[in-house]
Amino acid sequence: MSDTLQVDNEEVSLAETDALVESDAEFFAKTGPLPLHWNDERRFPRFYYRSRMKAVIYPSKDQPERQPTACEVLLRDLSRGGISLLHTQQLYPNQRLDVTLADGVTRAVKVVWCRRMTERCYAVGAEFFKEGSKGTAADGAGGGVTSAS
Amino acid sequence: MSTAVAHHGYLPIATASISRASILEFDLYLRRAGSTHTELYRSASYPLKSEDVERLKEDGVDRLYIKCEYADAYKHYMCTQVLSDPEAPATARVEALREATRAAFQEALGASDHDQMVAVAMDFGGQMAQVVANEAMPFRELFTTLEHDYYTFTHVCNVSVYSVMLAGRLGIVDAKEISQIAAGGLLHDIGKRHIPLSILNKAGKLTDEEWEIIREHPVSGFRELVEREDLSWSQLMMVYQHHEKMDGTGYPTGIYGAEIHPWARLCGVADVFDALTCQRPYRKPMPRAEVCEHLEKHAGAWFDAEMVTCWTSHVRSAR
Repeated sequence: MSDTLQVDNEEVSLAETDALVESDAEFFAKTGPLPLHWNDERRFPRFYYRSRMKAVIYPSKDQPERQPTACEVLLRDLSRGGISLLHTQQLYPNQRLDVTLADGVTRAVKVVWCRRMTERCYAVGAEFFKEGSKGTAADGAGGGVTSAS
Repeated sequence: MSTAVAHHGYLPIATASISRASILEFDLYLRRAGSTHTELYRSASYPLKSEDVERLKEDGVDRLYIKCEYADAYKHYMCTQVLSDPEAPATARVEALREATRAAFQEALGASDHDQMVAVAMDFGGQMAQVVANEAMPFRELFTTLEHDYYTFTHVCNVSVYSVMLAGRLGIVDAKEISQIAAGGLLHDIGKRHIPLSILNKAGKLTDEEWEIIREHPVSGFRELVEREDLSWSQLMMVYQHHEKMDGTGYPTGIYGAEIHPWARLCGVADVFDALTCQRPYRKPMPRAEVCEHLEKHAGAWFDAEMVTCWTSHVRSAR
């Protein structure tokens, strides 16, 4: 497995970005359902789904002139409603990403929260959504990644 | 969110705000202590004299009520009586502006969308910019004028005024920017609309679960407003980042230093200053000198050091 990520057409070393809070081996070894948190109010169960993932990140509202940027991110887990990922830059709530999961299908997600983990490593929670819809993709029949739940 | 919210179709107004009154365009209502019943105090056609207002104050009646549908008439009255009065000092104008905005703000709080709230904030911002443009605002008099009860409107209004004052001290003089900062200050806690009153007004210590809910308000406020075209990114950062700390220990993102937008840093200083100088259910207001010491103690780690120096020197010079 390559130890670099593609960010803004630049190869960034995983070690250099300190992107993985755990070691590579620990990070990618996790599988199965996530343990429930004491205040978990999620609608759908979440599953570890550790992999590299291609993403197109759309600019936030403060940079409207920027073009969408293709890059790689690290997928942490997913549910029928959304995904969690690691990225080397801060993303803002409601910012759009198009992510391509292992099934080869590209889905649109919208950032819900972003938390800095370490230097140049941000954990991001995002929900699936359908363009032109105010609700999330999971609200509609068959939306999101149904096979995962 | 406030205990002074619209009550069965009535909006609370400050008794002091009608001290210049003669004939009003709206009826005034009263609620006796311990009573939930709202009774007619004075009909619109009956002149209100200054001694009536004084008697109400002596009786401890600091709030009267008007019917919700007269919120605009009340605002119009405040604007024509005080805001447009060239003789009125800055403190009186800010007070009038606050009272004119209070009713509209309380009404907007109850609305399901945020259009009304943003409109109120932008209107407030524009008027604040005019007040500031005409004359400098003396801190000591303003501090005395502002309320310190930490009801939601009081808090966001104070933060807005302090943010404008600090911005001025930092050299921001552009009327458009001042207007945006004032509006951003009024909106900075809009995400608290989604927090249950039982948590916001809790007298005791918050549980971990309740803190988790409180800490969501910058994100929920930002998400509510981010798609709007009429708010600038800087204003949105006041909503999203005002609880971030310079050393990265804040929330919601945990960014640090220069990553935090200057207007959010400014709003953060104003926010903490007001929070500590206000009466809370579980503690008395902290004296200004102690609040300045608190800000200085955490300058650089939590707060922008330059902004703290600027603000505390301004507060101390007003003694």
